[in-house]
This record gives sequence, C-alpha cells and structure tokens, in this order.
Amino acid sequence: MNDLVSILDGNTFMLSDSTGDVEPSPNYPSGLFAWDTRFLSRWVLTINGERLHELSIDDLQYFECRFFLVPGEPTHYVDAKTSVIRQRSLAGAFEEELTVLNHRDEPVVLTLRMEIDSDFADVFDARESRSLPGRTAKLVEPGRLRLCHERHRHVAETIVTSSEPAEIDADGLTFRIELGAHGRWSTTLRAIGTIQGAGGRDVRENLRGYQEAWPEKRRELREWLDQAPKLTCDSETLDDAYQRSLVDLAALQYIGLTSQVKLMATGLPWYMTLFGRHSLVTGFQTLPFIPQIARSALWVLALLQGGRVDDFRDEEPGKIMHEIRYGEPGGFGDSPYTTYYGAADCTPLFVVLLDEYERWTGDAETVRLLEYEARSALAWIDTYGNLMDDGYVWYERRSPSGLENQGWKDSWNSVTYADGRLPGNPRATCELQGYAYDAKVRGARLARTFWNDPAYADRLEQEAADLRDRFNRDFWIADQGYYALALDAEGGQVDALASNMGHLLWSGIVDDSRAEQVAEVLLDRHLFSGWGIRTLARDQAFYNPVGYHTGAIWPSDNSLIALGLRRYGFAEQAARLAVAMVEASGYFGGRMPEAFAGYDRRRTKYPVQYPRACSPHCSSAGTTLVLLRTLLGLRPHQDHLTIDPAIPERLGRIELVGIPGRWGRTDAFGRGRVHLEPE
Amino acid sequence: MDPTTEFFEALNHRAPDPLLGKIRGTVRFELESGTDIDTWLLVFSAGSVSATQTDRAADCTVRTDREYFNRIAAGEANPFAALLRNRLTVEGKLFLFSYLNRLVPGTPGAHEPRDWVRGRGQR
Repeated sequence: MNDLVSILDGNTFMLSDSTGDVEPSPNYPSGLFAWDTRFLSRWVLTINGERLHELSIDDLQYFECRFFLVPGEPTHYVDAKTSVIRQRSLAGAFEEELTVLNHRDEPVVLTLRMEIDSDFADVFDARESRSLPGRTAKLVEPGRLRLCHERHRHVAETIVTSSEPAEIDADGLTFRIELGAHGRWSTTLRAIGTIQGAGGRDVRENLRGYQEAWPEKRRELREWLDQAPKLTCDSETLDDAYQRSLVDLAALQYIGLTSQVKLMATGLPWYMTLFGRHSLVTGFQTLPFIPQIARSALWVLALLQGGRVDDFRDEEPGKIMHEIRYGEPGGFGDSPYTTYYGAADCTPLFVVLLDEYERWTGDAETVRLLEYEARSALAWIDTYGNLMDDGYVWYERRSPSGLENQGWKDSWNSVTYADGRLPGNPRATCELQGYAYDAKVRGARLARTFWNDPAYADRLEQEAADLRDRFNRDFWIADQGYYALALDAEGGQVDALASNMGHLLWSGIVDDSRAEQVAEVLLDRHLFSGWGIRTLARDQAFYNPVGYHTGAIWPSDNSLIALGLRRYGFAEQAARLAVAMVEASGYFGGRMPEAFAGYDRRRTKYPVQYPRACSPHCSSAGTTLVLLRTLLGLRPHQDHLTIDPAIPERLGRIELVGIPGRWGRTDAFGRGRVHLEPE
Repeated sequence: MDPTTEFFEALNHRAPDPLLGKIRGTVRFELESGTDIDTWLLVFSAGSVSATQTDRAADCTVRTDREYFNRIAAGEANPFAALLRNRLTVEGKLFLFSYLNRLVPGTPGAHEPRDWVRGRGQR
C-alpha cells in the first residue's frame, strides 16, 4: 500500500491513490469509510476530461493532507498551464477544498468534474465490489447529490454539497469555470455519511464531539502531545518513531456508539474499530506515557463484558470482547462480529492490565469500581475458559463463522506441529496459560490490597502456583529445550517453535532454571531475523516469511517479548531486540506497521513490507513506547519509579522528561553503554 | 404472558447483581403493537433493577415494536445488532442501553462451552 494516501480520524478514514482519487481496487479498500461502512467508492477529479498527476503531497496532520496536481500524464518535462490543489480534512464530515490556478497570461475556460459514487460496502466486501442486498438510489436534489442505500429500516446515506454552484447529475458534480490571466478559483466539497437512527436522524448524532471542527482537533492534538513525556535522544530514528507513535495513538481514538468514552481503533484500513486484545495491549504499552489509554480500555471493555451464553457470538458471562463492528452485515445477523467474543486471551489480560494500571497510576478507585468485572473475568478463567476441567485455558469456537484460533495469532494455520500438521480442537496455547497465571497473581494482589478479601487472594495465589508447576511439567519439551506452542485435546504437545514462548517471560510463568534457555532460543537465528523475532521459526514446516502468523514479524509481539526479557534480567538481549526494532522503524518513516516480513536481515538489508499490513496500527505505535521503557529499564516500585538503563552504544543518550505516575512526574536518563555486535 | 412481560416481571425478582452496582438511571421502553404503545420503565439503582409499566420520561428511551422485543426478551435477537440495523432506536444516554445485554437471556439452545467440547462425539 505504498502509493496510497490516507487521512484518518478515529474510525473514519479516507484512503485514496497518490492524486487523491478513489476508484474501486481489488487489492485494498479505497474510499471514504466510517463505522466499517464505505460512504464514497468513487471520487475522481478531471479537468477538461483529463485525469491529474501528482507533483507533491503534504501530510499536514493525521486528519488533513494536501495534493499538488497538474493535468495529464507524467512526462520528464512538465509544463503545466493549470495546476490544482486538493486539500482535504476529516472532522466528522469529509471536506475537500479544490483550488484551480491558471498559469497562462490570458483568461481560460475549464470544465472541472468530480465523479462520485458509493456502494455502501462493508470494509471486508469493499475489494470485491459485491452488491449489497437492499436498494440503492442516486438522487439529484437542489444543491446536493444524495446517494442512499436501504435494507429494511437500515438507511445509509452520503450527501455531497459544494460551496460554489455546480451542475449536478447522478454520477457527479461539474463546474464550468472562467479564470482570468493568472487567476485562481476554488470551491469546497463536503461529503457527509449518515446512518439513520431515532426519528430519522443520524444514529451517531448525540455522540460527544462527533462532528468536531478541525481547529478543535488541532488544539486537542497539541494538548495530547504536551501531556506526553518529552524525549531527547541522540538517535534521530528513535525520536521520529516516538513522535509518530504519539500522533498515531491520538489519531486512532474514537468515541463509541454506546460507551461515551474514547476507544482505540486498531489498524488502518482493515481494523478501524475496537479490538479487545489490541486495546488492552496498547493500554499496557502506553502506561508510562499516556495512562488514560489504559483507563479508557478498562472501562469500555468492562461495559461490554459478556453477559450470557451465545454460540453465534462465542459469548459467555465474564468474557472480554474480541471485537465490535458497526457495519450493516452484523446488524442483519449475517456476521457475528457486531459484538464478537471469540478470544481466550482478552479476559485474563483485562485483569493483568487493571493491576498494571494501578501500579503506575495509583488510581485505586478504578480498581475498586471494577472489582466485580475483574472477579467475573477471573471466574471465567476457571469455568468457561477451563474447557477440559484441567485448569488450563482452552478454546474452541461454537460459532460457525467464528475464529478457529482464539489467541492473538488468530489465523487458521497459526497453531501447528513442527511438521505442519494441524491439531484438533480444543487447543490450549502456551501464552494463554501465562496470561492466566499472571492474572491470578495480580488478582491476588488486588483482592488483598483493594477488595479486602484475603481468603480469595490466598486461593488465587495457590492456584497460580499450581498452574505454574503443572505448566512447566506439561509444556516443556525436554529434548528440544523450549516450550510447546500448545497442548492438543489428548494432552499431547503441539511442538512448533514459535514466538508465543516469549510472552511466557512477560507473564512470569517460566521456571527460573529455564529462562536462559528460552532467551537463547528466542534470539537464535531460527526465530530472530536481525530485525525482530518471527512469529514462527524458519525451520518449521509452515514457515513463510510473508505468512501473517507463520513467519512475519509483529512489532507488538516483540514489544511484549522485550518486556519479558527484562523481567528475567536479560537486559543485554532486550537491548539487542529493542535496537533492532528501532532500526526497522527507520525504514517505515517511524511508523511501524502491524507486521513486516520475516526475511533474514543478512539477506535483505532492510525490513520487507508485509503486503496487506495495517498502518498505522495501535499496538505497533505502542511498541515504540515499550522499547523506550525497556531501554531505560522503567519499573514502578511502590511510590516511585525505578530506572535501570541498558542502552546499546549505538543509540547513545536517551532522556525522557515528565513520566507521569503515582509519583507525579519524574525524569529518566540513560547513556549507551551496552556493546553489541552488528546484526 | 408473552416473553416481553415475562422478561420485565422477572427483573423484579432478580437477585441484586454487583455487576450492576455502579449504574444509576432509568430506561423507558416504548413498544408498539398495532396502534397501542406499551411503556415499561426500568430503574437501575445500586445493583438492583425494577421494571414497572409506568409512563414517564427517562434518561434513555428505547423504541421498537412489541413483536420484535419479544425476540430480544427471549434471547433470540441481539440488542446491539438491532440498534445497528435500525430495528430498534435509542435516544438519550446510550450507555444505559448497553446494560440490556446483561439482562436478556442467552440464546435458546446455546451450549455451555464445556458441554460443547464433551459433546463432540454426538455432533
């Protein structure tokens, strides 16, 4: 998606080609999308029937950008008599200011046309230009073009207007303009997408800040950046990645339909909605920097916690949500993803984040207010999650359209034996046991310190200790020297070598005597590419460097592994992983994608793009913040922050000023002293 | 008694639920059947819920037809999906509407996950 240009605002985005035009593409979902629905599928500008070619693009803010264009196809010598500036922004509505400049020394008459259409497709159908059930109409009304789609009572509309008079037909707007010598002309086009709710008004109308003007957005972004700690460092790459991450995290915030708190959209373009897992992980990643991300994630996921048993949605009481979707197919029961619960990791991670949140912020009130949600989550681990009654967390979908794998690696082929066979169901992946262990240990602290329930705390601690013992017995593959990826239904070890094992260090379930072996395997050439740790080791049957969960490298995965390495005292290994990721981010303009390819660094010299990766992506943006935390060795300890830097020589000095927490604000400094060999 | 009446009546006999402890507020349901509109008022207060056929304004108003609400009350239709397809409309404090999902029963015939795993042989 190299040549695409996106602007975004929470879960609304406009994705176009490099001239600003939108045409249906089989490869990516182009157009204006909001709430998982495409409101513009065609938006093509011509002058006198000719398409335009870009001279340059200014990425102004995440919600606005500007294209400088000239008519005609590119030649090595551009001698344009006319140029066009397209400046677009998103703030509830999509606005595009078109400015035409005449460079001639004489007047000229031009015909400017915008071709417009909408198919109201759901984001996943958008590439297939599949027609939706229901009726579609294009209505030419005074001063506006109205495109609508109706399916029973569900009505979605796009209304396009212009600040200058236009000739309107069903396929677009035409302007016949007269420009004086060196004259200029401009108009602002506005497209509003609505989904009808109560009283025929937009269902989102009473959302706070839903239609915020962009001066307000600029002010909010400034405040957001002002509140974050200030970074000063020798590495320009690290500084770029940090600034980019802060802006992307701001860009991805949106206000939910029923929650009234800011949610985190996950990744552009496929996952512009709340995912439980990524909100929890991003909340964890950003605690030393922007703790309100974790706070919002906890509150919204508590509000949406499962309440009943529903096979279609893989929902059970106490379970934390996998994802929410606002598109039409979900409303009509064609897909379970409207509110889908098929994730076995989110529920323990909810408790993990609640405890970590308090350790950083000292916000005991939230821990008290969310006591029963946290207790229901802990109860889920022992009941609905404990499918085989053996104390491990297992998963198996009941929804026919649900996910086959319900850990973070949720694609169908992500859990395999080393020889490529797929295990039957249910499955218990190793990292789920680590999360469950960590949730129990942390739940015990919360019960003792805040819920006044020492008996419950004792019980949780005992269960955690038992789980750790059993896990180290049942998952360890003695003759290979690493942990199995999963157990199969017969209790057998699913023996592929995968990155999941790194999360075990993060959770603390690894027996101390084995930690060094685990760290060695993670940073061995089979898993570590030189840019990061692959999802699957390159000597495994299913390995593919461009396999989503079978060889690609995920920044968020690596961020948790880096934290795990530090937890067990492997500061040098964590520094090695951190510097590799920082260097990789430099090849992506500081914006780490969802995933990149697992090719060996010695072979490619640069990290290769993963073809369909989301970018920006919330927990990849959060990764940069974790790398800083890892390099500086930040850890909350009672009422102060402990700092224990382990920074590679080649990163030089790092200063982070104004780290928020229960201590108020504090600073951390570190100097590059760790000597590493080049990768 | 249809599923709607059964659902609301049962709320009055529900044990106090700590998961509802933080919520305070009222939700008005307007359920059309033919030319009639039945109204129900739900009051959330400190973990308990009460439902009466009181006709007064509330923090949040939910409108749909009684026939469709019967399906929600029986666990057959999902409240959030109904909102998205405009089969039901909500005005006022939408977060109160979210709690409806904690009150309605699970889908008929839904499987307890552990039974589902044990029952593989029979499927």
